[in-house]
This record gives sequence, C-alpha cells and structure tokens, in this order.
Amino acid sequence: MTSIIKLDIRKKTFKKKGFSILHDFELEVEPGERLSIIGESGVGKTSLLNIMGLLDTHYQGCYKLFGSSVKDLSQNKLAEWRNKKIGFVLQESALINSLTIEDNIKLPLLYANNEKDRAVQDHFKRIIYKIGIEPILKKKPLECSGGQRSRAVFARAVMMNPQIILSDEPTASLDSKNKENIINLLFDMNKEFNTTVITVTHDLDLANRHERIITLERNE
Amino acid sequence: MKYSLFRFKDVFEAIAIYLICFASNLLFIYVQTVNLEVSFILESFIESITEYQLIITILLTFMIIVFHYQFLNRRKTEISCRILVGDTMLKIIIRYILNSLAVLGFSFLLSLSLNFYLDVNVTSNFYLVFIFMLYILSSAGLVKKE
Amino acid sequence: MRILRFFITRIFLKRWILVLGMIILLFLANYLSFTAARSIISTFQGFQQIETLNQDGTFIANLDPDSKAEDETVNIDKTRKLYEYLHNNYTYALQADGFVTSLDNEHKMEVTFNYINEEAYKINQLRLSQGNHLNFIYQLNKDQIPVLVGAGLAKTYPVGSTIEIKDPVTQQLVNLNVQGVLKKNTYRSNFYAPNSKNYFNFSIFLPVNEEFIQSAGLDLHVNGLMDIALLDSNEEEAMNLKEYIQENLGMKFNFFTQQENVDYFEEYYIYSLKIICTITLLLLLIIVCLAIWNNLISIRLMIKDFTINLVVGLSYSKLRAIFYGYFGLLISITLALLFALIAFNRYGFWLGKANLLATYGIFGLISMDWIALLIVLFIDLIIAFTIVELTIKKIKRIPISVGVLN
Repeated sequence: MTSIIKLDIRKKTFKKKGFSILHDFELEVEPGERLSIIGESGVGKTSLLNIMGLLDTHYQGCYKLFGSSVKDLSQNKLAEWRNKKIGFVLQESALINSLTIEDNIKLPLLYANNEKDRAVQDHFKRIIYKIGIEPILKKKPLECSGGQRSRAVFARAVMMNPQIILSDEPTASLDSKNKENIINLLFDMNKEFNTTVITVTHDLDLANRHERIITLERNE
Repeated sequence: MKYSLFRFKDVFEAIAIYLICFASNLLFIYVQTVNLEVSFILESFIESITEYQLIITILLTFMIIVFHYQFLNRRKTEISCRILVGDTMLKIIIRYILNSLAVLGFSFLLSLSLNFYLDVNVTSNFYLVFIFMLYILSSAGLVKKE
Repeated sequence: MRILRFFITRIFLKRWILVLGMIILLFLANYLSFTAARSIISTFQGFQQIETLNQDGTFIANLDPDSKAEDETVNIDKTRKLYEYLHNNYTYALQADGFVTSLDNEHKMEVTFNYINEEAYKINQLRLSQGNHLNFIYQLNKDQIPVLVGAGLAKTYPVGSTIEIKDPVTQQLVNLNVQGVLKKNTYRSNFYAPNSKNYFNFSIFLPVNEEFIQSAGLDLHVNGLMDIALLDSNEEEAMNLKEYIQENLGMKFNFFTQQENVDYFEEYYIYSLKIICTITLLLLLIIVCLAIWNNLISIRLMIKDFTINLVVGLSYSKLRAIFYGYFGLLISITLALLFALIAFNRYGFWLGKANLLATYGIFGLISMDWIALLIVLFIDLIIAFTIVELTIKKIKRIPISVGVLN
C-alpha cells in the first residue's frame, strides 16, 4: 500500500531558543493506520504533529503528504488541505470562547464554503447525535464541562470527514468515562471511514490501543 | 511588582499614552499663545485644529480606556491563578487601582517638565488627570478572572 | 464576503472597544490630513490667482504695517483728488468688496457689493453661467448700471431684471440691470493670505468708471486703495504715487515689484507650507504609531481566534484579505464621519447666513474639499497597508500551536 505520509526530516531548529529536534527522523504512515507517538516532554512530539498537520513548514528535510511535497505547496493549498484532509483534535481549550459550540464546530465549513449544503447539514446532525452534544450547541465553551468541550473539539475535527486525524493529548484533562468516549469516537472514525489516526500522548494505556507506537527520544 | 498585575512593558505603554495625551493638550494651549500673525496660512491651519482642541484631546484619552481594557483582559488567567493561591479579588482590585494611579501620577509629574519648558500653567492638565482617574475607577469593574 | 462578515461580527466586534479605538485614531489622522491638504490646495489656488495679477510692470499696493491712517488727514476731497491723479497718470486695477447691503433673495442672505474697474475686470476674467459681460460705459444718474450677480441671486434676479437699491458707497438710489450671472462658487483669494477666500454667490459686481469713483464715498476710496495695482508701470512711477499718497493722505504705501512679490511669496508661503507639512507628518506619525499599537494589542487578545481559524483552513492570504476588508470598512466609516463634519461646516455657512462663505455643491462641498478627501483616502490606504502588513507579519511569527493554546 502507498504511504499517505512520508517524512524524512533532517532536523527542526528553534533559532531563538538555540536548539534543534527531530534529527534524521523518518516516518511512513499507511492509510487507515492507527499510530501513536510517545516520548518525554520536549522531545518534539507536538512539533512533529505541527509538521504533519501542515502548521509548520520550517524544517530541514522533506515531507510528502498524499504523494506531494509539502514545501512545494502554496500557503493557500496548505490551508485547503488543513480544511479538507486533516482534522485536529487538540486539547479542550482549543475552542473560540466567544463563539457558541455550534459555531465552533461549523467553523471549517466557513472555509469550505458549503455551510448551507443539505448533505453537510445532515452530516453535522449525524455527528452531534453520535457525539452527544446536542444540548450544548447554543452554549459558549466556558459554560461547558471539560468533557463536553473535548467532544466539541472532536466534532470540529471530523466535520469535514478528513482522511487524517491528528490528535494532541486528546484525553489529557478528562475523567475515565470521557476519556473512553473520545477514544471510541476516534477509533470508530478509523473503522468506519478508514481514517488515519495519529495520536501524540503521554498516556501509555491510550498509546497501547493503537496499531503502532513510535517513541521519540532526546538527541544527546 | 511582586503583587502587581503590571509588568515593565505595561507601565511603559501606559506612561507613553499618558504622555501623548498630556503633551498634545499642552501643545494645543501653547500654540494659541504663540504669535502667528506673521503667517496667516499657518495661523488658520493651527486654528482649524485648535478649534476642536477639547474633542481631539478627549478622543485621544480613549487610548487609555483601550489600554486598561486589553490589559485586564490579558490578566484574567493571572487573576484566577492569584486567587487560587490565596489572593482575594478585593485586594487585587485595590492594588490595581493604586498601581494605575501611581503610573498616572508619575506620568503627570513627567509632563510637568513640558509645562515648565513651554511656560504653560501647571493646572492645564488637571482636567485630564481627573478624566484618567475616572477611567481607572471605572475600569476596576473589568478586573475579572477567567 | 461571508468570511469577512464572520470575522467582523464574531471576532472583531466582540472587542468593540478596540474597534472604536481604531476608528477614533483613523478619524484623527483623517481630520488632520484633510485640514493640511485643504490648506495646501487653497493656498495653491490662491497663489495661481495672484499670479495672474503679479506680472512684469505691475506694482501692487500694500499698506505699510508701520503706517498710521490718521482720520483727520484723510477726507473725501483728498481721496477724490488722489483718484483723479491716478486716472490722469496711471493705468490701475481696482477691486473692492465687502460692502454689505440688504436685498431680498430666496435664501434670505445679505448681499455684498463688489466694485470693480475695467482693468481689474480684464485681469480677473470672471466666468459667467448666463448672460453677457459687463460694460463700463454708463452715466451714473441717467443710465441703468449693468451688473453681474452671483449664482445665489440668479433666481430672484435673472438676466435682464432690474434692481433698484440705495448704493452703499455713493448713497444714491441706483437702477441696476442684471447683465449676467457669475458661475457658481466664483471666488477671490486674499492677496496676502491666499488660503482665505471670498465666494461671490451672493454678490453683485458693479462696474466702476471714473464718474462713479468720483461720486463714491470715502469707504470705497480708502478700501480700493488697499489692494490697488498699477499696471504697465515702472518703479519710478510707483515711487511717485507712493510719495503722492504720503504727502496728501499721510498714509505710507509700499508698491512691490513682481520680483519682490515672488520672493516674498516663496519665502512666506513655502515656509508656511513646510511647517504645515512638518506638523502634519509628525502628528500623523504619532497617530499611526498609536494605531499600530492598538492593532497589535488586538492581535494579543485575538490570537487564539485567528490561529484556530488557521488550523481549520484559513490561509494567511485570506487572513490578509480579511484585514484589508476590515480596514476598508473602518476607513469608509471614518471618511463618512469626516464628510459629515465638513458638510456640517459648509452647510453651517448657509445656516449662519455667511454670504461670503456659502458655497454650492453636495452639502456645500467644493472642489478643494473633494481633492482633499481624495488625498485623505490615499493617506488612509498607506496607513492601512502599513498596519495590515505589520499585523500579518506579527501573526505569522506566532506559531499556530502556541496561538491555539493561548
């Protein structure tokens, strides 16, 4: 099978902070694969996720996503792929506090310009039903519990039916029930739509439930 | 600064804005005392600005409202954290008012040097100080936690 | 457009104090640049008008600042003699305005008489919207006097109509015959303050000939002398007149040559305009710095909102377009406010019945206002470009992951 992610990074340098990470890092990810990335704080897990999620293009090396070299893509193309092909499940705080939960979830539709499509509306309803956040749609994030906010973040990530879901500590601040909920939602997406799931976590229990685990180590 | 919500950068910003307001008010007063009859063009240009002196100065003071608004919005998390570790909202508000008044007082004293330099009455900026004090007191209502 | 509306209503306006702050700063910048631009344009227009008079062989009278006009030494006999002397020995241009009288008209404005002799009339080349130009051959007590009226009087006193009125300078009942109507907003700049103008929409231009001058009172004689211009003359003749006036009226007049006037204008106008430009630039710089600061603190507060949008598909180029759209809106609002202020001022002249300042145009706005507004728009575009590019640069420097978790 062809890899959808092909990373060959020489290094990622933080000039101001005066250090670099991800030295000679190589990674290939197959479609539909469940991969978790673990490692101690500061080794570059989130940086790696930012690179894979097209949020950061300042590194030495090559990154091919869906067969195209990311560095050859325009900023507009990168934005379009972030919108359509990649879903981000970040920590529960990654919501706009001034918008309602519904507006937060529908945010990607604004850039896809298909907010009013019937199919999209149906898809939205399916997601909120499945995730169980109907009662909080009109609420603002700060009026919701941590678990509800996490589910809203997840709903926003899957709103565009992405081919890849990148999640950064998705369960970090959740109780065991909510944690289980989010993990199930992630893996359901993987099973139902063959979505590739890449999770950065400190949680070994969560990591073990993925097909493959890679451990990042600090360069000495 | 240990208990204060203000950092050096905030103090610097606030002083700069206060000084802009005080200085513009003084310059308005000063140019009206200068004999510009030798240049009618210049005189009428200055007049068309000084005609609206009060409105322009008060509009400029709005920048201080902007300063307090953004400052207190950025400090919401810090206020929450301080309360978590044993501070009280009342104490935070009182300290905020006192610190803000101190910055205002310092700026006013600095502006006095311009008063002396331009030979403008020291009371000229009093009404601005009063307006700024009102701003500080009303902005205390914005001291909130996240 | 949808994205812009979303950002304005859901993100920017949520922090309306910052938006209001930016509008205030842009408005101050606009008002300042408008005032400066209009001063410069008005001065330039005045300068152009003066240039038509300031020719080789022309000597323009200017009352010496140290001269004392002693009332007892100036009387009508002496001034009549002076004008006779002038008539016999010189070619001169005379124009005197500001003689106010009451005359019915639809706008209920007072009317100003403007007395002009043939030479001054030739130099001014007044443009008419209707009727014919003035002729200067008439007999004061027998004939109707041909006059031009300002555009504001054209409806009440159309071409061909007659006006019977007591002339303010001869104090005689005269019959005026409307010969033509001046174009709207015909103006005359003050010779030594070219940025100040009198508009003749409510004026009557009355031709003066030698007979009229001799019948006129002291007011016209002295007033006319203040701006009198000797034409096709030389320095010796000008000196003779200067001595004649000083001996007979006890007033000291200076008659400056073309070169002296040019030197004076260059020194005085350019110096004044340079100072105006410097003051404007300095104040604009301070206002723009405040506007940049205001926008950067907005970024500090809204960075999370921006970066979350970037995560879900907003591109930097779209974000740039959003900011340009946002500033386009702010600039439109401030320009509308500025327009309202100027219109209020101009329309105020109509309400206050300021007959020499009331102008025709949309709410009384005249060409120099529109040109100045265009300049303001241009300055606004530069300010918007500076702020938006700095803002985008700032946003790009903040890693998205940091912004999201802000």
